[in-house]
Amino acid sequence: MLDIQTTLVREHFTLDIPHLSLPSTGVTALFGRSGSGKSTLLRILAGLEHQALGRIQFNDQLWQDGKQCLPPQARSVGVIFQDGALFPHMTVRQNLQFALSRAPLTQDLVDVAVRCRIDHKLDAPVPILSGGEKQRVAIARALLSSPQLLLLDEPLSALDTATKKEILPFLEELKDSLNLPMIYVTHAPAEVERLADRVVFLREGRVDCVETLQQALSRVNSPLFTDEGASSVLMAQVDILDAMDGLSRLRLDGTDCALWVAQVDHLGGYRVRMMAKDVGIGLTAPQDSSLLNVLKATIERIEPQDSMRVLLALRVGEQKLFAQISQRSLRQLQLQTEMQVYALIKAMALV
Amino acid sequence: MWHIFGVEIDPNPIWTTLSVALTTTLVLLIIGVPIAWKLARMTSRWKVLFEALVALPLVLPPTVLGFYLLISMNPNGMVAETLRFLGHPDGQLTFTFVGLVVGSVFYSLPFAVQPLMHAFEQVPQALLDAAKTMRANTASLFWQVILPLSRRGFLTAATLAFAHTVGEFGVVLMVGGNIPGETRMVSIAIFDHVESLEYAQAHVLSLIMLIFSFAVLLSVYGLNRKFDVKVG
Repeated sequence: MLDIQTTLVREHFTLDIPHLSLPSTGVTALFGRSGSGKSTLLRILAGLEHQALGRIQFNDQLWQDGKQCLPPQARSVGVIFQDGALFPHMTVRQNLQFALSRAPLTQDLVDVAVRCRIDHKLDAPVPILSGGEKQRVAIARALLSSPQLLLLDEPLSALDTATKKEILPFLEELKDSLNLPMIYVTHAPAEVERLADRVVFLREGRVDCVETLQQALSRVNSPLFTDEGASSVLMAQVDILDAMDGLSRLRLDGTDCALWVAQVDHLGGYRVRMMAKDVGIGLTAPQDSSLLNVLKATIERIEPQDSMRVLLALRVGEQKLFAQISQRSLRQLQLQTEMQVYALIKAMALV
Repeated sequence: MWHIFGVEIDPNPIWTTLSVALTTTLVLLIIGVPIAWKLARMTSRWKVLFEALVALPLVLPPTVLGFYLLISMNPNGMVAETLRFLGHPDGQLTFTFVGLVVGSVFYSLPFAVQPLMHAFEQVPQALLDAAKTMRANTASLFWQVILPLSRRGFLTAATLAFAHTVGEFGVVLMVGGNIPGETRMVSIAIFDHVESLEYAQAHVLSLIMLIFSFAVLLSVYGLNRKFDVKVG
């Protein structure tokens, strides 16, 4: 468990968390707008904010009690900063060596470099690396310091869209392959939905609520939906990696439904994220349409949004799915709760 | 005695000048680093006060600084008493080599602290934070992160402190006096020669200083180009 009680008072900002208890497994997202205090909380956990007061306990180690505060050197946390924070005057190898030489456990530097796919850049100086490579080196460096908790401070926010798409699956892979608790600061709902097991919603220096990802995604007014609208995540297993035409076939957990998505890069579990506005509804399964994904679903709730749109909360097997349709379609199809319908999703809309 | 262009030159002031300047530079680098680091990372409103204090020798006439140092180092003063208490034979600093170095350290302080401070301000806090989370102690933070990233600042600080000490006159005259072979520095020797209408000696010494200063600056700027470290 990670038990947090902390206050930090600055001139124009106060972070006040009377009690926050997080399991020390899986990925916990700290989600909020800029100024919500999410990065500050992360820095407090790393021991980098000297003015913070309170009590922090990680498993059986007391990290802070009042003014008694364990320095970052003694906490065994790995931190991945927004821009990587690599040492610009060293090569990639020297950066990695800096972490490894001070770590309590020995690891093979090249092994970790291969795993992070930067082994071909080991002797490159840092300034010539691309943004994505810098972040991979930062991750490798953090792993080589043998942390017991990995703290990620908006690791994708400084990257362009294409590079984000490359690093995000890599983080998913890490999450699956390492048995390492992670705390992930972000303001991007897509990153939360792809990576997080639970979400801490922060606002103006306070904790709004702590929810599992499923809970956070099941309420219509979730803060995750404020910018891009409602979205859903379906858990699936990769069935056929290369199903031709650049597609992969997945099997939805708890059902025998197939789901076609743009090709993914690894077997095993996969989270399919879709926007509610990309999900349509049919009363029968269309035989002659271009839509590849047709899922049998039950309408659980109908939530009017405005004069034009409604949000349908659907149940597919044990999983939840939002569909956003027009008031007109709702009327024409005479949709009601507990009705059996088909959720129609373009494969293109799934990433 | 040296014979240059048929002129007889006493080399002692040159050696005195070089050893005072080198010692002062070394002392300034050692005490300048913690001062500059504190100032660079200071956010309190008292920062301006300390900055002004450090910069004071820039505007103060050297004779004023020298006068205060002369007064505070007088044989019956607190400094002398303390030195005697600590085992120094007479506690006398004025008109000695050590006195010259003390005076020069005060006089050249801003020339060492300011370049260091500006260099330290450029070292991103995130790099230090990252190093700490990787269990780096203060020594390795300094030697492996801060120093390599502020090499130019160190080079500039050392050069300016050295050059400024070589060229000083007022403080030296007040604190060091003009004892041949002990505290007579080149700038004062030149002044003496001119006073005694020995223009040939003054010419040769001045030319030596000119060539030496130019050579030092040239090599420093050359190094500076080589040390160009990109941060970020």
